Amino acid sequence: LVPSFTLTTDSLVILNFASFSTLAAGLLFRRLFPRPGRGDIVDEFTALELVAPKVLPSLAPGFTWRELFLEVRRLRPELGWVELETVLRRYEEYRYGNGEPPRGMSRELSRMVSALRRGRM
Amino acid sequence: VIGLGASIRESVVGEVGKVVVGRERETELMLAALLAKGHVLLEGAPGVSKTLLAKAFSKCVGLDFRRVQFTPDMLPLDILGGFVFNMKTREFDFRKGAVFTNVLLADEVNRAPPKVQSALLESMQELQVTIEGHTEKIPEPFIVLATQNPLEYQGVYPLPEGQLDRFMIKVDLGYPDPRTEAEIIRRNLTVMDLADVRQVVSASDLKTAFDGVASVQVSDDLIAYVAEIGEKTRKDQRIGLGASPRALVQLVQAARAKAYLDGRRYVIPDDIKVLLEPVLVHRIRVARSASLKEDDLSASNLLAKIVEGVKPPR
Repeated sequence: LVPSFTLTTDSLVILNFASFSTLAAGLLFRRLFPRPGRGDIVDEFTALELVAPKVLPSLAPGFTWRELFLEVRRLRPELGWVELETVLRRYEEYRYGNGEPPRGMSRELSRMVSALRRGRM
Repeated sequence: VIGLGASIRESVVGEVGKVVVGRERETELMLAALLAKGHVLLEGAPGVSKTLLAKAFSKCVGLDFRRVQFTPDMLPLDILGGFVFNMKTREFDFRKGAVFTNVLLADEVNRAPPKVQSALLESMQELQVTIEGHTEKIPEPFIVLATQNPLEYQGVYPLPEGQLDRFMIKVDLGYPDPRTEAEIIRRNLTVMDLADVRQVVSASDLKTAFDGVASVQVSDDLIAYVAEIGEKTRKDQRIGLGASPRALVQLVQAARAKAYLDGRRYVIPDDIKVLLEPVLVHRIRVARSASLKEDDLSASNLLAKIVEGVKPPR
């Protein structure tokens, strides 16, 4: 009975360790490489404002959204620019024109934010 | 109504482009000034199509147009009008001068003496003429398109700062690039006539557009952004004369017109940034001490540096 009990306990410890390690690795990975399509559009713009000046040193402190988008477009032309321009217009209408906050999420905007976070420009 | 702005812009730029090549940006600025109820100073060397541009523009917006060639021997009476004795009624009648129109082309405005210039500029601001206690209203809309040649120094009276401040927008008409110039030469081989330019904006569309511009929103933080830029131009040691409150008011008005012409019902920071140069640079003077230290220091460079450091609302 004793060897079988030890074996079970050891197996459980190993299983526990494996589960928690996977969970910790997953959380760390998510933090480092956030998946696209997680935040809403307003949150993504807030994130963009924080991350862009660090990754794009050519951007002056007085940059506008359109200047930022133009710069990213030059560096990452493969992003979905039709969607990104629509999202920008919706955000501008909300921000400067007293419009409704843009609802939902934008996959392309999340991709853009992720690319900037990873510094892959 | 908002879509009308973009359609007006497209048709006016297209129509003016029939006779004036490569001046799309300048045409848009003139249109923005008209809708923002401002005046335009066109500056450029002789032969860069200042007068043609002004004539073509007024023709396609369908407004009453008059041209006055300014000369050193002019009198305020020639522009404003005055009292003339009527032999029949044996009374003095007010005869209206050239200023009583919608679009006044003041050609070579810096050739007229200061008395004439100030008479014109007063009427630009007040939209009325007062002579011997008699006041006459100038019909609206009223826009002065004044031209001046920066290369002449003999026999000219440069506009002082206070008078330059009355112009909402200054358009610098530089020489065209070789490709555009080739196109100008090619078009001039055949008959290129102002008669080809049609009226493309009706009076009712113009009225709707004025109402549309008045309804364009400007957020409070965008107004604070403009005020901060203005303050920085006045506090910068390298600038002798910064932007006046009138300049900032006109900047916001011009930005509203631009937003309307772009098909938007709100102003964005980019509208302000695009218009900073045409609206502010002619009102800013670089301090003499600063220009002695740095050779290539200009109002334009200084303004660009200031704006780079001011964070717009995001």
